[in-house]
Amino acid sequence: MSGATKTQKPVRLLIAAMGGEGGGVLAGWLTEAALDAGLWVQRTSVPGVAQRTGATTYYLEFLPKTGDKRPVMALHPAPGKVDVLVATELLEAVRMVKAGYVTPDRTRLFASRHRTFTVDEKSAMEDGRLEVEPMVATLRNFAAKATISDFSKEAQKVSAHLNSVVMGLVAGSGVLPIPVESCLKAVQSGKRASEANLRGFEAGLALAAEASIVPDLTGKAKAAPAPEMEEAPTPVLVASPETEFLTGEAAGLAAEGMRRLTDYQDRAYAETYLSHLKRVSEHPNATPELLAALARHMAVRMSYEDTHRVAELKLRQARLARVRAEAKARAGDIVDVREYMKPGPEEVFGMLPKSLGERLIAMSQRNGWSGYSWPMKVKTTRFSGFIRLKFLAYAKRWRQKNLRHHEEMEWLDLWLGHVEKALDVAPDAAIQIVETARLVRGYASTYKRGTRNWRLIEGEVIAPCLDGRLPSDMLADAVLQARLAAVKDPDSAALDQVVAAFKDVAGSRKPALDAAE
Amino acid sequence: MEVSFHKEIQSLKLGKGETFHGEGILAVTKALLQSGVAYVGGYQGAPVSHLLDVLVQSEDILEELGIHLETCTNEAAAAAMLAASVQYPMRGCVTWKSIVGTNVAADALSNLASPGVIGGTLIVVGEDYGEGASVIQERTHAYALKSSLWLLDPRPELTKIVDMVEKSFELSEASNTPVIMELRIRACHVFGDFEAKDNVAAPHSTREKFKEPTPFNYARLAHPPETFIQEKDKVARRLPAARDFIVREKLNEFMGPTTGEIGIITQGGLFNGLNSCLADAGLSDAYGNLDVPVMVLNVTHPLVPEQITDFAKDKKAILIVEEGSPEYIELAVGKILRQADLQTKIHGKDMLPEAGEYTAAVVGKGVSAFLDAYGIEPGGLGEWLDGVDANQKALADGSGDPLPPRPPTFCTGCPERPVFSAMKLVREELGPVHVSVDIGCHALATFPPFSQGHSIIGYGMSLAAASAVSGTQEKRPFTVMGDGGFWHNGLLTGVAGSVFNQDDSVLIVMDNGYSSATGAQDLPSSRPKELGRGKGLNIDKALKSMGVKWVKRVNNYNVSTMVKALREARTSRDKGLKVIVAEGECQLARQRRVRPAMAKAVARGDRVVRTRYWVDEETCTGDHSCIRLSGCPSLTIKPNPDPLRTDPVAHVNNDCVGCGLCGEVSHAAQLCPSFAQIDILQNPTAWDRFSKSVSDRLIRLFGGDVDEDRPGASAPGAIGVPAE
Repeated sequence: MSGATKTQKPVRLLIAAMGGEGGGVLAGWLTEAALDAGLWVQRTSVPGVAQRTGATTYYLEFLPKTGDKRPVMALHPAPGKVDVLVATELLEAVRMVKAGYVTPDRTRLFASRHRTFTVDEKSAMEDGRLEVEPMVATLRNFAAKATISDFSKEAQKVSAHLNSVVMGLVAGSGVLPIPVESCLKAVQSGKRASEANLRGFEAGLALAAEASIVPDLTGKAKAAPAPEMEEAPTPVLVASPETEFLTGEAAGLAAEGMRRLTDYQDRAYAETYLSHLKRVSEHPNATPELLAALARHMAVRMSYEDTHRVAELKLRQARLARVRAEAKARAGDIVDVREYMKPGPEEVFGMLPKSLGERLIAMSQRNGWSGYSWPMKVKTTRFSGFIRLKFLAYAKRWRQKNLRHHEEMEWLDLWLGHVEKALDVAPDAAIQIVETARLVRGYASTYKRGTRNWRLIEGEVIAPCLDGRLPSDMLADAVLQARLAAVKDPDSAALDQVVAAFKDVAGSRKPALDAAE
Repeated sequence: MEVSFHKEIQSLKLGKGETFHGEGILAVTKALLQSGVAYVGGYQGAPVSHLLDVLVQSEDILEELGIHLETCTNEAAAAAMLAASVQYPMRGCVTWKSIVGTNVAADALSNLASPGVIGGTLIVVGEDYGEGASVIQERTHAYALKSSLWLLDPRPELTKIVDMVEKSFELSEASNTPVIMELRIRACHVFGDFEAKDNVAAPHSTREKFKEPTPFNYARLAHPPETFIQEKDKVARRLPAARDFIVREKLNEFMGPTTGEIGIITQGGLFNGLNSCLADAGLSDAYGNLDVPVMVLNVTHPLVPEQITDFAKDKKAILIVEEGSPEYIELAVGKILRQADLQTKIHGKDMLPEAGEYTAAVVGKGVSAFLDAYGIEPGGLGEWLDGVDANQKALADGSGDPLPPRPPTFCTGCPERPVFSAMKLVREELGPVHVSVDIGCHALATFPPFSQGHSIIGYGMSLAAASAVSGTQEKRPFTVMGDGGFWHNGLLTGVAGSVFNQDDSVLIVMDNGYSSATGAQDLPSSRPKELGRGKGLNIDKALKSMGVKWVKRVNNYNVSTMVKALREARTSRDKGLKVIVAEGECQLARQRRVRPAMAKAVARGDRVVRTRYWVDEETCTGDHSCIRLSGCPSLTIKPNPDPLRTDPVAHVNNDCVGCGLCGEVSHAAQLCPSFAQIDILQNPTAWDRFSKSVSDRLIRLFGGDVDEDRPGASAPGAIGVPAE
């Protein structure tokens, strides 16, 4: 064999994508472009269930033609032998790194920074999202050179699909022995949506040009760009004169709480909130972290979502613009919003005066009606639906006399009371007790489950420790463990275990003397 | 079938001298046409569905060549089709996914192989092994051995694959034996090219029909006492004939130098990966110019003993690269060498893993160990493998938690998802029951967030798999089956058996109109359409005629009704089989049809209402119950816009097709008031505008805000149809 062919090696490219993203089309374009450029090319894939959003890969090898002899190309990507890796999503890029396909000696990586969350991440009861920065760091550590940017956003900007942007990016970066013109031709020849694809291709080329000059996008020695918040950035909260008795984050959160509660009910209601905060802030053991958590959770809990609140929120103008934008409605289109609502006896009777509401709820429980509810689809964009919600929103002026409010205020007193008691008895536990407020939220079954979990922690852990029946030195840790267990599974099985274990351990010890005193 | 294969069909028409470009399985299809087949059939299953899918739409080609095409109801039917070649000189080919399809076809294969064939017959199987496989990991090789079928495993290069298809018919005819060609997933999808030939019309076909049947000939039946004679014929005549042909036509390839200290015998399908490892070791190059003798078995059964001994006799050792377990080739080679009294050492599963896919690094390690053992420096191969290990170590050191998996899920808007949401709701209400699950899209409900199912035992067999359970559990078991499984096997194996034995159980049949998991092929119950073979057979009637009394048809998207039906099926006093036919068209197929039609209607100026769903981020509390009950890909999460809350809120992205499940679930489970249906009325009529303006005026009168519909609001450009 001749020396020239002996050392010739193919350029190997691996695409990691998810079903339905057009990874197959991208691989097809690259194949056609390579053929146009007169290269040997082979492509293969394992797209068995690719349409169904599972992770999938496409593998290509390219070799310049030096004669008529056909090369023998591999069907499997080999770890440590991938020259170019294209990932259409961040986690999938990391998955490829972990499989060994991205190596510092050779792999040029193009990874989209956007996230498509896995079911595990989405279905967590609180925040199950993986952290982005460590993933980006892994990519930078293992790639020879990395371009990590939100390709999905680039695609959206020009109303194109992500695969066309990636095609432009790969073409423009010069990593393959294929001229840009051949890539362009391949994209143009696509039978469908070729205009959108061309827009995407151009955007990808621009991104490639940018990546070659903006150091943040390339050199792995450089600091990673600041994490982007998708869409709505969290507004910076600014303290108001009346919350200046607080410092740092707490002051801003309290100001936001004041705004929220004034809007929710009235100025007087908001002032109750402020007075609670003020009282706690004067306690010598109240830390800034505690006050920030308290300002946050008390505002959320005091603006609990009852029927009046829901009705009010659903009638706001800001919402209509948001709906139009999200629905991609064009000028001239009529957009109707049909709200799915299904209040149960608790929601409906909760709006009634306390004594009447209690009697009706008791009656419905006696008769086994508590599972009943009234499903409705309310068209808020039309007068018929609007007027119903308008009435409910208007009726919030009687809220403070109603049953639900009464129950909520009882809950608030109990919770606040425990927090303040803890500041005296077990100061490190106070912030954990504040955080338990997260558990109580939502509507109907979610609300019931949350309340049930909270009452369990309160009754079996918090109260006994604070009133001296159980030792208080374990309180902070026990409350934290219990709260985390409560959001592990919707059946509360983990929580029940944690609480039982705590009772076993704590019950076997005598209460600490200082707590008993 | 809603997919169009126009482009593929054109490549099937290429003639002599033209270059074919395409994937492996399409190349096989073209090769069949070049081989003069008279009939083709099969049962869908990745990765060989494409062969049938394309032919189903190639009416003009079939017509011109006189090819009879059968989309069989299962693999047994496909294998039985080959009976046409037992007594008639006709070439035929059938296809399916192996190992599962071969299991289903096993009875017919035995009865076909016994008398053998006079017309060439080829069975193309997708060897679904390794990454991306969706079936149990077993080898087709076992069937070839037990029934005396010849097994081809061609080198994955289109010219070779096409050549082997053509040769397989000749081999079949020369030895009166059916031939199986196994193609791994990556080989089916490998894109390449070959020089086409003209298509050939068979001498006997739908155009040139036989005038009379062949005269009665008992000897051609798989019936005793002929079966005893046939068994001897297999080994005494057909096997030697096959070996002669293999040698004469050079089906196996000998590459590299003719002599050497060591040599490698490989299955054809694994050659490319092996070459890449040898190239690293400096023993080959990118073009397969080998410096070490390699025997490429494009035919893995039968082996030709003389070829093996010739290859081995002057060598110290040979390595056998054979994927999967057990190591049939290695065992056979051992016997051949022992009988020839050759002392050549055999390596195989001692250096390569006994089970699992032979990926690049796996083969690399085996080859490196082999070279090492015989004093050959593995060179670049060793360096590469060391690098792989070092990289693996760096990864292990640097990272903590394993990554969350991303298994496939039901598509956005899938009609099967609501059924599982309803099952989950009923489970929450009444406690768990045994759930027997089946093969098909619905098996995705074994993944989160549904995580249900106690056994998967075979296609269409879920009801049969619940029969002993129904007799031994207090709570009646539930069974899920797709319409694909129902027609494939479930109607008889399951329904008839259950009624016959008076089992007390519940069956849910997913009537989505297609065999969806394999790419939306038509079924007997598919609605008749322009393309495809659907006949609209009625599942309910089929059930009732089988004696099932309790049959309910429910619209899947109506979750509350589904919950009610499931509850009733669980608690009903009626003993015996209760069937819920869960109806909802496969959303992939529906979108392929509906989207272009809707875009056209909008462009024409017709009044069109587009529906999608939306989560009100202000009322969403970030508990994600809705996601746990739905799992829809378009129902995702985003950062909470509320500065006081930190948990991400639910969010419906723009992939939403407006199936309405999320809203239905929020109603059925009484979740929260955050879901809203958005109707976007495009090209509204004068009446629409008038009624809207009256409503707006009234709303303003009562102090409300209305949609300003700012003129000139930017209209987003057209987004292409997502490419599959």
